[in-house]
Amino acid sequence: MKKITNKSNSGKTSRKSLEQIARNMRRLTIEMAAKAGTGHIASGFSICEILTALYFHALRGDLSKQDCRKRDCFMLSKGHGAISLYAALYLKGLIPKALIDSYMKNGSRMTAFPTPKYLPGIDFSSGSLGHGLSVACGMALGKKRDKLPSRIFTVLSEGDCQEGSTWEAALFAGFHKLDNLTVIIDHNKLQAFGATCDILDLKPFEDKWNSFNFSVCEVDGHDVKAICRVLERQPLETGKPSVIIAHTVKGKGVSFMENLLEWHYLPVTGRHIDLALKEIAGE
Amino acid sequence: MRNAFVDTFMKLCKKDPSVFLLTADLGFMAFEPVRDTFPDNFLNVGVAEANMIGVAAGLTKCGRKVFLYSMIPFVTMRCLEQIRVCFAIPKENVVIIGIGSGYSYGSQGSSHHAIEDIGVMSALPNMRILSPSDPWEAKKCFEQALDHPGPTYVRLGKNGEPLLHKPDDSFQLDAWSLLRKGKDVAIIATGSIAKNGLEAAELLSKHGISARVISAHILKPINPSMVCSMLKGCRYIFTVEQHNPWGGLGAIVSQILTRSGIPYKKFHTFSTFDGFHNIAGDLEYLEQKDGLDAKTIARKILSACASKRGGRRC
Repeated sequence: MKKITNKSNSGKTSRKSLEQIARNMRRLTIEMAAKAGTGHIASGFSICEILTALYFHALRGDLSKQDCRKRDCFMLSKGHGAISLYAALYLKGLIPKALIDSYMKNGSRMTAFPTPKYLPGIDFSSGSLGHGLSVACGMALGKKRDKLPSRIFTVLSEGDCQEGSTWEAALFAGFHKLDNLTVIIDHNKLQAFGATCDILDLKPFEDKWNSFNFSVCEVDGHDVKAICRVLERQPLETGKPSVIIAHTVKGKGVSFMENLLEWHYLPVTGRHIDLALKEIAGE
Repeated sequence: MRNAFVDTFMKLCKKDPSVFLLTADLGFMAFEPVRDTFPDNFLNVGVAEANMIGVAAGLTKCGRKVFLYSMIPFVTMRCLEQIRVCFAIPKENVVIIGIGSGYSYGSQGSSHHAIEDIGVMSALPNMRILSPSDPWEAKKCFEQALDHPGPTYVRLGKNGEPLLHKPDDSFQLDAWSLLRKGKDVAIIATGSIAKNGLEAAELLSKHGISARVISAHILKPINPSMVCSMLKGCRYIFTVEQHNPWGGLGAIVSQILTRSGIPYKKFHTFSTFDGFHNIAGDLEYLEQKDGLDAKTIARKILSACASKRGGRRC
């Protein structure tokens, strides 16, 4: 197992500008959730740095193209984080603001869990947990067989890792040596109805992935530069799929939401909106 | 019917390198030629049906036209929600092939029987369902299986089914096919049990009853006007299937009769009983137990035709 720590800044985009993107992502998330009167804010917040590192550093090729063969692919298996993925797509210039404004509105296709084949790169519905890794494996296998250099990235939640089908897929990825596949786990230690360690613990988590023939590393899931650096090193080992266990905080960025189960569900209203936006802006 | 698939798939491989076959560890003594001749178009994913569905979905993004294969209970019900999310909702152009309709796996036991799959699969929006009666129809179905903007489920028997069609019969994928002409009674059958329908029609002819036998090789989508024209003139309508009474051919036809106002005097469905046979028994034995053998079908049709009560006219 390799441990990635934050020692130096590398890459083209500065830490400051990447952190600003993640802040903008959280701001948009709050604005969308407030307007729609809906939740899933905390689930989005725990992956803002991961999405920033992916969309603004790691993913190669023209992401607006439907044909995924010539570009890297991203599959958000934890569909309940889609609110922040939409923000990322907007900030990347892949979707217009009008779509952000129509989030969860009657008649809009901007559903809380992604609608397939509507937004660039989102080919499947997700959030019914346990599907993403299998689909990612299929894409990785197809690219391997076609000898294409483009890669597959997928973000899983802990809930995903409680589904049996995820481990069917993990067995497949390891056995078929899918080293063009990178799994990032949003390890925020909270699930829909309690703490993961109290409900169905995943420990020893790294050992599980190691034993399925993945190359494993851990990262601070809110250190955007550290995530960028580990993403630059994909595959971690030739001949093995990689898994990055990103230690995250559910609700990260707004103190009154952090590590609290209720923010998996609660809409943000009244003074909480201003408080959240102020904290995100660093005021 | 399994061999009909292998032959058709091998031909497809020669024409179109993007076709791909995934199997969940089934296909011994059948898929070896595919594996050995077209290794780039084949993968045994292991006994992991849920993962097979997702892998197929991912492969479609890389331009593959995927066929998936396993026994019916495992390739439909085991991974139903995967099929819904990965195939039905995004309308992926894939072909799910299930083997072992009804009691084809006989004494293997209830876990291997398939008596609910039509109901289960037809409940999925965007899903097309094909259920050929013999190897000839199976071949025709497979040749056009990818010609649908969404997933297709093909329900097969096992292997070694007799030919019910003549080689020069006409075939249309979206219209049922005529296995025997007749004017009084219509026997609509789906899958390999159409053989029993034909035998029943032969028995009925000895009693002066002219029975038309129709193979319902497509179960969804169905054009009601096609059904109207297939049933034209027949006032006694019967369905025969290796499926329980809920959601199968009988349920589908009764829905069409109700909605379209096709006139009839009697309508009866021959289906498996609404339960599981937790006993050993080969296909013929279990069909007989459920009254699905040709003799019982003929006897019941005869008594239905003799009775003057019931039915409706439009």
